[in-house]
Amino acid sequence: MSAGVLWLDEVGATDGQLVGGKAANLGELLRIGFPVPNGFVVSADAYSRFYQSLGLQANLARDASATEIAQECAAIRSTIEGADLTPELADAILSAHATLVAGHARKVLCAVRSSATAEDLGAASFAGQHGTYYYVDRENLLTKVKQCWASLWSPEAASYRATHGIDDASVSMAVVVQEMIPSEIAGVAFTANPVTGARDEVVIESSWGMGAAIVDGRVTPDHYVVARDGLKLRDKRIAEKRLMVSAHLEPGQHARLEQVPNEMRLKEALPPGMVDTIVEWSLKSEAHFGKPQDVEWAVCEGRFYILQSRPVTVMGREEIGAGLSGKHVLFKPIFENFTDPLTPLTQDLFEVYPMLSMRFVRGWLYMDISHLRRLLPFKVSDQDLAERMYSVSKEPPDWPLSLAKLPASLLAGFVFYLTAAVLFARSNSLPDDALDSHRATCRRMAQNESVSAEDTLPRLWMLPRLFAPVADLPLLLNLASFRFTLWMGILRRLVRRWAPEIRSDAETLLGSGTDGVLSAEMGRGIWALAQEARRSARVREIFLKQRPEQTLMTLKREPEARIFLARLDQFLAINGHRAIKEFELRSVRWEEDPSVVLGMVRNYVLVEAEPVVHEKKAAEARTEFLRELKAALMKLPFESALGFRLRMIRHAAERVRYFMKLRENTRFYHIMGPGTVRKKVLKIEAELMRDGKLKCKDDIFYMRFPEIAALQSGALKWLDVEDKIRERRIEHIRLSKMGPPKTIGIELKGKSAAPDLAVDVSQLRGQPASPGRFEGNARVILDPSIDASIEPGEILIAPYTDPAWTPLFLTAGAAVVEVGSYLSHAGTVAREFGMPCVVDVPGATLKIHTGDRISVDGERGSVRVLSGGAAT
Amino acid sequence: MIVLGQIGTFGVGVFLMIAMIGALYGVVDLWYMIGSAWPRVVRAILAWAIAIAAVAWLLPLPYRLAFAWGLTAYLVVYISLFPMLRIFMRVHRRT
Repeated sequence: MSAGVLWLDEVGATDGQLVGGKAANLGELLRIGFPVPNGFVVSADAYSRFYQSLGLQANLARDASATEIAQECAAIRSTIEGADLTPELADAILSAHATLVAGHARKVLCAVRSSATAEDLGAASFAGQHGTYYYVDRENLLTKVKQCWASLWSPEAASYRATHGIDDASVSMAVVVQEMIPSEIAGVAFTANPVTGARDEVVIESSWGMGAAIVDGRVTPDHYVVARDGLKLRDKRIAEKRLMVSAHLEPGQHARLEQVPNEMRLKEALPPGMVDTIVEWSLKSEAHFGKPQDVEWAVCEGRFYILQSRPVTVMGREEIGAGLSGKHVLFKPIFENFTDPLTPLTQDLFEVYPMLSMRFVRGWLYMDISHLRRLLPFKVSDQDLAERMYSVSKEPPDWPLSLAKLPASLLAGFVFYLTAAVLFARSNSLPDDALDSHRATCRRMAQNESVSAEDTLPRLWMLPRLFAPVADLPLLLNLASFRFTLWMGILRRLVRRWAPEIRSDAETLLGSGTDGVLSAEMGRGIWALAQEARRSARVREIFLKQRPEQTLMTLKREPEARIFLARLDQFLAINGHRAIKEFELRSVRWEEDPSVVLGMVRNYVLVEAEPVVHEKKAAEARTEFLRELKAALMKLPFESALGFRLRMIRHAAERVRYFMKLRENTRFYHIMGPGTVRKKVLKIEAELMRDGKLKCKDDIFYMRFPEIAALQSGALKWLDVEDKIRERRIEHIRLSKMGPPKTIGIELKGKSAAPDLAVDVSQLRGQPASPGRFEGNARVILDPSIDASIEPGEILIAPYTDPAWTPLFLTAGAAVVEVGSYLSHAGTVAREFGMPCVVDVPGATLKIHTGDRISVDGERGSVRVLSGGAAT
Repeated sequence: MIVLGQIGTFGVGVFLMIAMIGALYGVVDLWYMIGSAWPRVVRAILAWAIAIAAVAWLLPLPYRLAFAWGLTAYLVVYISLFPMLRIFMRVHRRT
């Protein structure tokens, strides 16, 4: 072709400098017979000639500030987008487009993608920084080509070039224009596992519609792991696919993101045989390029297409926090309840005020322990302190005392005491409902328009008034409730001193069995709802025949469901602020969408038997233990006459139970804070969408508060934030799959956070969190909002748990959780229900499959796979 | 020796003021159920008030003064925590 426009099959792998890396790859694949959609390239030379004709400088000033660079870039982008292409180039592009779309019965839309020549520069990856536009028609084609060129001058791309020492003048930009495949099914394939790095397997993700829904993380796709050797399927998980990006717009329809029809949600998207086709083409691509490939593919009218093939970028955990100074440890109290990184908006919410020694690294909260170490009156290294924070030992550390650090420690302790002592005094014996008025405070705050969304949480959590009741201090009370660790230590010492022969989990048994733990009550509330649903044959039938998303609508039309709905309203009035991953602003609260609750009710409705009677067994074990303890103590001098030892042990146990309950219950209330902020964010989102300033629901959670304010004021427009949102979504998915390192800047001597799949999978070790032994079939649940079905006696295998998982504990025989500690939510609730629980078992959800027969030992912290069952 | 004793009684004053403030907060914290909780609240306030009065009455003068300083100092420190926290948050808020 002419005037800087070439057909894709005219270029190959050696043409990177002419057409950029992306176009060269696609052209290469097309030439050798890969099923790549046809297209053409506007060459990098065409861009260079156009850029020179505008009289713009080749390089940005090196010593300019970020603001000056942003202004300079904005001026360059504006000039590029405002200028006209030469008639010769414009004709060549439109003529190529006409040829491309000719001969199709349907209207052909195009994808317009940047293909920068610098993408070939060593390790430099410009992923997400250059423009890509979909659904482009002839009318918008020339504009989009110019916008791709202009994206070379986004502040992010310029900053990236400056950081990596890439000369601005050395980079040029070609643009690929390709026929868009209106796919029915699309997805990605990785010829090496992008999470574990395993080279002997191919990972495929697939869903309905166009691939954008997967790439942007809007849908949980079906997931396949295929062994290279013999192409044997190792794992298959069919997800509930709620959203899809539609290839066609119906008349009057403006948004392509739409709900997947109910009957297709749980249906496997790939037809039989397609897995093999995808694997074969992906491996061919890898063989051709000589390194593991990340392949975007689509299926249209039964035909398979490769949309893109590029090297797999496996970012190791060690890269997270690279360049960060200090000694950081993952902040367990949040991570134990929520293993995904926080979205940018949630992270931003916590960063409005200084976080002292805490900081976010890629969405995970870390604590710089060097500050803590300086305050401890011991000779201890950062490494030993970090080890201790992840230790399973209940014994106090044997660190030598440091006299030099003692005065500073005492002073810090004294200041802390002066600050917190009144709160300690106030929280020594609160009634269970003392915090209930916090609900009304949150309601008032949600309606108070004079308080911005980003100032709401500090007002609810950190800024008490002098005469505020304790109900307005749930977070501070939560911190104050950590006194249970002190009482637990006292209890342990008393029992060991006076009854050394007694069972090793004595303090666990004595410290459990408390009434009024709200998250446990919530589980019982869902069980009661299920009992109510079973009373009416018609209501029961609705639960059994319909998906939870449809159930509520149907129940509202059913006269027999009136009592059930009234009970559901009562339940939501108390627990409606809860959600899966409730620290996260993006998480939908149960009061907004109770389908998760209805899903759990459905699970119980399906259960014919009563839940496992752990609680009764645990109560009996406690009574029996107290009898043994009393008998042991009676042998000691004066005990039968005075009984003071038993009284002291009972008092310590009562204090442990009280403060553990306070800890769990204060969380029930302080978690209303993020829910209140979410209400304000949703209101802003609705306004922005109404004004056309935001295009898609949920995108707001990938922005930051200053960006939202700029969108509201008009200082930023949708096009300014669109790419950032997309890039952050992709990054969020990558990080979620990877998981964080436990430490940054400290090498732990013990086991790493990374699941090691090579070790013996039949024997797993973790931390004991709740005593007891149980044998049963495993049920792997990754997200209870998607799958909440667990039968009585099955063993719950979970990546993490937070209070929203509690109802599953009611029917489970035991629980195994990938993260957590004795003090985590899983342990606390398991002890209340009296069920065995082992936490901190890395990779449990990968190594154990649903149906495997396993045994759980909650006293030793071990899990044994007895026999493999059918993998789902 | 007297100085050490005064430091000790100053500490006792701080401790008793903490307990007294905690007891007084009972009125605010349990206001929602004051109809049934008032005996408990009044008992706590009276107990700590009597303890303070008894200690002050029993102590000889130089120690009584230190004790009073302990009471007053903590009250001032506690009340000043609230504006200090607000100023800290205002100064350090991200702009």
